[in-house]
Amino acid sequence: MTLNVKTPHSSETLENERTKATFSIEEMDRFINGDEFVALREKLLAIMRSEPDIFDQKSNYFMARTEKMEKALKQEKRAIELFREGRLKFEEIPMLFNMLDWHSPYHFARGIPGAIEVQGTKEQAEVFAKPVRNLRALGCYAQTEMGHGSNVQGIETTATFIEETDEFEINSPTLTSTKWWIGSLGVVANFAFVMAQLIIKGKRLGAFPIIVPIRSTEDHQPLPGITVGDIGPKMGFPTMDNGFLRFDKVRVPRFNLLQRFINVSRNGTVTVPSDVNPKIVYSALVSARAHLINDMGIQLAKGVTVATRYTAIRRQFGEPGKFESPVLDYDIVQYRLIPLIAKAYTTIGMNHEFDRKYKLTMEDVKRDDFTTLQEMHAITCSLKKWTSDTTVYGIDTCRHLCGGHGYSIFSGLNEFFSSTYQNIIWEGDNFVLAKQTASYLVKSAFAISRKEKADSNDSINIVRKFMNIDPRIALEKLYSWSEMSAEQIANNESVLLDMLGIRLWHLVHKLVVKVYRDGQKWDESSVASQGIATAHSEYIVCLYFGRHINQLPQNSNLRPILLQLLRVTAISGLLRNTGDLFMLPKKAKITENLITGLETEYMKAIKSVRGQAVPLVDALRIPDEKLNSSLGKYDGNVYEDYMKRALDEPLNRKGSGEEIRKRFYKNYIERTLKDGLDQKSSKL
Amino acid sequence: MDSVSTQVTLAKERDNATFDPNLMDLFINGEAWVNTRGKAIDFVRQESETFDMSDIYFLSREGELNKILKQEKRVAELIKQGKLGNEDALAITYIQDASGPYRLHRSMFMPTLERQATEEQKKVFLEKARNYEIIGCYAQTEMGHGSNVRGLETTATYIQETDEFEVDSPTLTSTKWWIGGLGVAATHACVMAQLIIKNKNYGVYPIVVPIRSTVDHKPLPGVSVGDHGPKMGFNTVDNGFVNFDKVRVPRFNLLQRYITVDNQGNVTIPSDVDPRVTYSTMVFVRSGIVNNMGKELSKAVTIAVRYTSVRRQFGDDPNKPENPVLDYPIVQYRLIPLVAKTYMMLGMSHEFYANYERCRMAIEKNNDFSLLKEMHAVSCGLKKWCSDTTIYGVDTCRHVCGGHGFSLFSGLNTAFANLYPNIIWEGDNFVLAQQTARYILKVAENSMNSSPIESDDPTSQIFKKFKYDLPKRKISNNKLWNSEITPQTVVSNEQLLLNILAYKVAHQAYTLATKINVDKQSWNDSLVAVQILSTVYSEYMLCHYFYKHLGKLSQFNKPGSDKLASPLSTLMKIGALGFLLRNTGELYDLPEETGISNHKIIDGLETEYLNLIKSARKIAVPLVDALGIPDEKLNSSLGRYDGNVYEDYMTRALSEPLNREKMGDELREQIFKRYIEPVTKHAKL
Ligand SMILES: Cc1cc2nc3c(=O)[nH]c(=O)nc-3n(C[C@H](O)[C@H](O)[C@H](O)COP(=O)(O)OP(=O)(O)OC[C@H]3O[C@@H](n4cnc5c(N)ncnc54)[C@H](O)[C@@H]3O)c2cc1C
Ligand SMILES: Cc1cc2nc3c(=O)[nH]c(=O)nc-3n(C[C@H](O)[C@H](O)[C@H](O)COP(=O)(O)OP(=O)(O)OC[C@H]3O[C@@H](n4cnc5c(N)ncnc54)[C@H](O)[C@@H]3O)c2cc1C
Repeated sequence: MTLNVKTPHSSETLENERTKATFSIEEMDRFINGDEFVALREKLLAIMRSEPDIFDQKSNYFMARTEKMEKALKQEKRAIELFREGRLKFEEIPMLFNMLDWHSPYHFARGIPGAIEVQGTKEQAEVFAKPVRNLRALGCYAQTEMGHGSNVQGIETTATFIEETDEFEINSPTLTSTKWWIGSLGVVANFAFVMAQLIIKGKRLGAFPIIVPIRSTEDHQPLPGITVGDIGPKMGFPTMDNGFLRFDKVRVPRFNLLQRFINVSRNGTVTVPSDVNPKIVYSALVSARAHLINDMGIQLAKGVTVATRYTAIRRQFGEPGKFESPVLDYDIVQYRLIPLIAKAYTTIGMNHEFDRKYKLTMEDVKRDDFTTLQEMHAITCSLKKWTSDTTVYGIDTCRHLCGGHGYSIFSGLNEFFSSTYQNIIWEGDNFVLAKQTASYLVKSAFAISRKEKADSNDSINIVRKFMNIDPRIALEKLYSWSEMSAEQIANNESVLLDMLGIRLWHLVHKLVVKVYRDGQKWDESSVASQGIATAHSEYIVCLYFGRHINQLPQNSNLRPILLQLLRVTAISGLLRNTGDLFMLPKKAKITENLITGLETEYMKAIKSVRGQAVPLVDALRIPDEKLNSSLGKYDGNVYEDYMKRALDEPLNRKGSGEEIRKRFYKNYIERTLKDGLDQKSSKL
Repeated sequence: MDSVSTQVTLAKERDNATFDPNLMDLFINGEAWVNTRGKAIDFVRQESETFDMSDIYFLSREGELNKILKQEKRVAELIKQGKLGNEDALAITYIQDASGPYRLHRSMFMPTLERQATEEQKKVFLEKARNYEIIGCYAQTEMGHGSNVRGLETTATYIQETDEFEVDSPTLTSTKWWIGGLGVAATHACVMAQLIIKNKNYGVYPIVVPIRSTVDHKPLPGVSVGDHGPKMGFNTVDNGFVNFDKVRVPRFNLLQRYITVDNQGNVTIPSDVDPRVTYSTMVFVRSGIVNNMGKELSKAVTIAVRYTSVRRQFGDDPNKPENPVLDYPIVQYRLIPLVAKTYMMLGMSHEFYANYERCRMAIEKNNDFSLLKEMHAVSCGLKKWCSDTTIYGVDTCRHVCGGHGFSLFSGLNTAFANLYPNIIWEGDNFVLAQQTARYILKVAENSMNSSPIESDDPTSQIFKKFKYDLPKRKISNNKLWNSEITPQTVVSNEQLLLNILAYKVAHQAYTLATKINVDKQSWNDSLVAVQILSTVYSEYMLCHYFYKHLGKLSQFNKPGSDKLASPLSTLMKIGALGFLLRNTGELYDLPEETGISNHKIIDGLETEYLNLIKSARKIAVPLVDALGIPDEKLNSSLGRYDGNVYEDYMTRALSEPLNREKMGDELREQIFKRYIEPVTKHAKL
């Protein structure tokens, strides 16, 4: 074979890819990310770029954990200065850290005011939440214990009312009652929002939140009775000081019990205010999950940006005499990657519609109208699961797609994977959440079948539709695909939505039968629940993304490619386990031929996106700062940057690196090579 | 709620054992390994001052390297003194759960010399290597090329005047990269380079190049070498880069068992060797991975099973202890099949390895290569399957531990990160599947052309059993099964399960072969189907070999061995049913006459599957105990044998540097003064 086929430089290859764009990158950026976000991103990037000595992240990969923590704290300090100068808003700081691609140790402190406002009275909000909004006090959310996470009602920390002194006594009675995992606690917080079992006059009233000072505001030393520390090294999330906390009979004033949903009077009489609906507490869960869902799109966008640019550049194998092929030209690479690009777009795109609905619900709740909250709760549970599963395992796929170099920290995908991972665990473990969505759908479907009242909304209406209890709808109309070829279906997003819908209905229906006819326990239904929650998400994300695309004028040149991405996501969902389609009732006419046909169409759809892959990830506009990756750099100078970073490895540095290597040699390697040898030295 | 101590809970779980875990250990891991493992455990316990790994989670990269080098030095010392063998060194690495800079010296450098060097070369290089007078690495991959070895750019050009080879790295992308042992340790590299003699390129060959001086360890002239920086895991190994600027080595350094170059630059290929031998090296290395994966997944399932049986969350009765989360069907559904797969990999590897040995002996003794091709296909498929299963299995084990899985003290995070390269190296899994599928398709095509299948290897057996009926263009359907198909018959009959799995392989192979040969579908368009075919085939092979190993139980004449049969059979059924139900679409896709592609059967199988999982739940703890993983390898608060989960977790957390006396105090004080105080000043709560 000839050696001298001169392959184009990696940056040239990337430039060539960019000429293929069929749409304007700027327009796509604004449409998919939204004007508001684009403006914020540019503002934050301007700040980061003007102060590189604080915000440059390149050297992070060589740092020990405490150094990383210190650097993030330094950045936070600067952010707060900017906040006090009026150049940054309180709510904008998390996005600054998102662009820096890690978390501030203050991250959880910032969530505290919201939590206090939901749970506390106006007066308490004034006293406890306001200082945090000004970052004059730093809180943390101390719910999880060593022994309890998913089951909040099972926590063991107690808050016992002491009538004599009008105080609560907070206590950690066992080892497993130690508060654990608490973000911003290990070194930062000076007070904690503690969930504790409320005990009044010997009666246990359940878990309620109470504000407990933990470190002195003078010198930050732990207050008497408090044992606090960092829980140690983790898979990822190194800048976060997740901590532990124990109380040895610590007293706080009665006022510190957050009393919006429960009142405790001076003499220990407990009343429940009649003017607040306890469902409001759900709205806090919903908000936290809504934020997480929004985050997931941005994270996945980073993953696919790195993998797409690199696989477009990376050449491996080919015909003699020609340039080797970019690995992105291999079907199997496209099959692994393109659906993730589609899902990144779907997640970000659908989030606009989701956010609109979410805000409407929050408005309703403020007016004490809880009609939309239940669906919102079901949707946030299933979308939280779907978006975090898709993103975490999507990032992993992106890493693996990069071959060996994906395994280098300089790929930008490793610490990133590890620090995104917790999203499948916290805010409700994904496997636990699925049950919530499934039970909402199953109960509603059962109610409908008994002609009882059930909600009317996107989630329930699709199930109702395929229960087919409305005799006015003709079957051909209901089964909109029945007269179509696989190719026609694959190009028709509304038919694809119907198919996602009938599959969801059928999975729900099967569980209705098991639970209500066969008497299966809910606990035994947790396996089936997973499939339902996923099918529900796949329907909702496509529905919402479609609505967002429909905001575009008919002649927009963004439309065709966005619709294609939507279809890829939809078909990917449909074909995830084709058994779910095969088992649909015969009259639905989803035949083996149709399913095989869809598999062919799926690959065609994926290939049709290949040409646009690089422009598509460009338009997501993840800046090089957040990528922090040799492989994903915008300019395509992959290998040069990679070599530069490797040379910067501490072991290679002049002076300090030489010292280390000399020490290793003298202490170990030389001993291995030479110990026990006779004088005749080994020369080769 | 009442609580029960974690130790008591675990002890009660152990009471459920229906078999003797030690006996099970002997059967599933094999006596030889149980002994080697025991010796390694004794050794690291005796020398715990050097070999204790409990502080590894707090170390910096430099600290980790320092620690592991100290251990490497000690092990090498004992090998030199003849007190430890290579097998022992490997077992010690296994117990330590971390590789060191000498790993590649043992696992790649020496084996390559053994296979590719002449006797004379062995005397010079291999003897020194065995005695650790030189430390080697295996330098194949370059920055620009990994999967495509033929595309490597490093050159070794023969210089007749001086009778030398000139080794050169012509481009940035030709820099050798990822080379384990090279970053700080190696004195020599076995470099794969394009051999160029008299302007003719002979392809890629190995050549031994000195890298660092054996006197002062400084890089030799023309050699730029270093460690290429932090990685996802494997940070105790010094993967490095090297770039050659026209470095000269004697002609002698070209490994010449399969190619000979004389001082006139004449090239001859010895007539008595078959070029296919190079395959056998790859088969050897991949079989090694296949054999290891079960041992590694053993660690993860041990942690996850023990922890989920002591972890309690939710309960129905406030007066009773909460439920162990392992009692929840969804937790069992995620975890128990992994226990089954662990056992199947361990059992399979005995038989698979025996087959590999047979194949090797045939080549070495009789120059008989007839077994190699199939062995190669199976080793590619199983390397992919076992590494995928293990890496993502470890991930599932981590996730099943909830939040605490995310702590390094779970022991699962370093394991995940360190094992991860197994899906990439020795052939990226997605690339390997193609090799396996190519072979299966060839066998299927033969069968379709009605050429008689001569060989009797497991792959041929599939296609012999399920012959293709050319006129009808499908598998001939006379007497497909030996019994009626119902969910109950399927789960009660391992042989039937195996047959169905084999049928799936044949069906998918014929379908794909038809698409490629008749419909002229391109290879690139077939790549997705190719991945699935490789998976289905590997699933069958795993079951085939495991089942074969179960057959050995009758010869395993030890008191109590009859009690092992039932749990092992349950595990096999869980594994096999899991494969059938992985994507039920594959079952629906089978022809109707198989009797298994209708939803009545499939729903029934799903129910049986859940029931089997539930039945294995009771003996889950004894099953993982029997895997024999010592606490040293677990290095985990959650998976400890004694169940002292929370106490150990707290002890470890307290030794986090930020919490340590003095050092931690200073760190925190500094953080407060510099960042927190200036921000919160004058705050009142
Ligand atoms: C990085 C990180 C940061 C965190 N930050 C905070 C914080 O700031 N404040 C805070 O209060 N908490 C925090 N947490 C804790 C987090 O909220 C919990 O880890 C989470 O709620 C899961 O609970 P757990 O860890 O106890 O898991 P467990 O509940 O013990 O779950 C273990 C396993 O059991 C399964 N399981 C549990 N119950 C059921 C059931 N009923 N049915 C079926 N399966 C079940 C789960 O799926 C899981 O696989 C953090 C966690 C992490 C990882
Ligand atoms: C920790 C670690 C240690 C290592 N140690 C050593 C060592 O000691 N010595 C050594 O020589 N090497 C070593 N390697 C290198 C390793 O062998 C290579 O990384 C591996 O061969 C993969 O090659 P690559 O990285 O170039 O991936 P690439 O070939 O660039 O693959 C990139 C992507 O393209 C896909 N792809 C490539 N070709 C095709 C195709 N034809 N069809 C479809 N898809 C394709 C792959 O699936 C992958 O997703 C090590 C690697 C790691 C991660």
